[in-house]
Amino acid sequence: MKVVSFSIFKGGTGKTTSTINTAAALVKKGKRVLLVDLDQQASATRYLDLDPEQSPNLYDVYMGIKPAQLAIRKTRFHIDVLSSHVLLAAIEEALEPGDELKLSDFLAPLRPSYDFILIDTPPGKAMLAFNGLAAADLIIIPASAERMAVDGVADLIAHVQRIMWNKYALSHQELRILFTMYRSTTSHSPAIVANARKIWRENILTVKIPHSTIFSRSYDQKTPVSMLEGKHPGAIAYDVFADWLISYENA
Amino acid sequence: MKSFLNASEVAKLLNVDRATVSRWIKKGVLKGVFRPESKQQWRIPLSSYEDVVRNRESR
Repeated sequence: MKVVSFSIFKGGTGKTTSTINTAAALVKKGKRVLLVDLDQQASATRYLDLDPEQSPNLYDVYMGIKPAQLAIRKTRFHIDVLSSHVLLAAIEEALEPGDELKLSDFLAPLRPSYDFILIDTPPGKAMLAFNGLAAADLIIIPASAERMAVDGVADLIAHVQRIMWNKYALSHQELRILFTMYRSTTSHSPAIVANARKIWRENILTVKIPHSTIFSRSYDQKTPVSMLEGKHPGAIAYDVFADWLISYENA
Repeated sequence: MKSFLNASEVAKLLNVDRATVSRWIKKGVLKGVFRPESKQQWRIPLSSYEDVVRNRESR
């Protein structure tokens, strides 16, 4: 269990924020982490203070210009990155049904060099998002604690189980739901999570990421939360999630 | 994965009309060839799209 994708087709529920802050929390615990930014908007790439116009990037890898091993960029946060580029839009257009496993193949030779490979997938039902899903051992579904996102969770699970597992030998994959933007002082957030728990039971993680402006500030300052304000409840939540990932991988 | 895109795909990526893509190929802004089986459809190499995007960025 080492390739983890953060996926949901709905946008704005915390995929990028969760990928970055989990990566930072894992690095803090001494893990070797590679982050893969599949989203052509390049938010994760920018979050880590990298210029998304620069090479090498995933476009080079998909085009066969560079092998993935030589396309890795280093960051000052000690998170290694396969970065995004606006040209990934062209890759999205060029990928055809049957290309779902491309990323999985690119990442295979990198597995021994890392403890965790985290994939930030783009929103929407398109080939790059499917590439991210197909490459994963574990799929984390970040869902904001509101009804719209819960419907999105059901959609993603149905897609993975009915379509992807049917087409490819991926049924070893596991799915877990991570609630984000959780407002514990409202009655709505706990109610949403309680309802979701009736459906997905133990697949819902006990740790919840609190709603906070620290995440917006963290992106603005191009610094993961744990390095910005390590004692903030948001940082602690990702720290707990990272511990869960480590124990899950060891189990 | 396709190595070539057609005119509508490139038009969508560049946010221009398909006729514009056609005109750009004829003017040499984009590289493209006709599909062998049809004189109606363009095949545009991904690398040519890449050149156009990179030139836009450096402008």
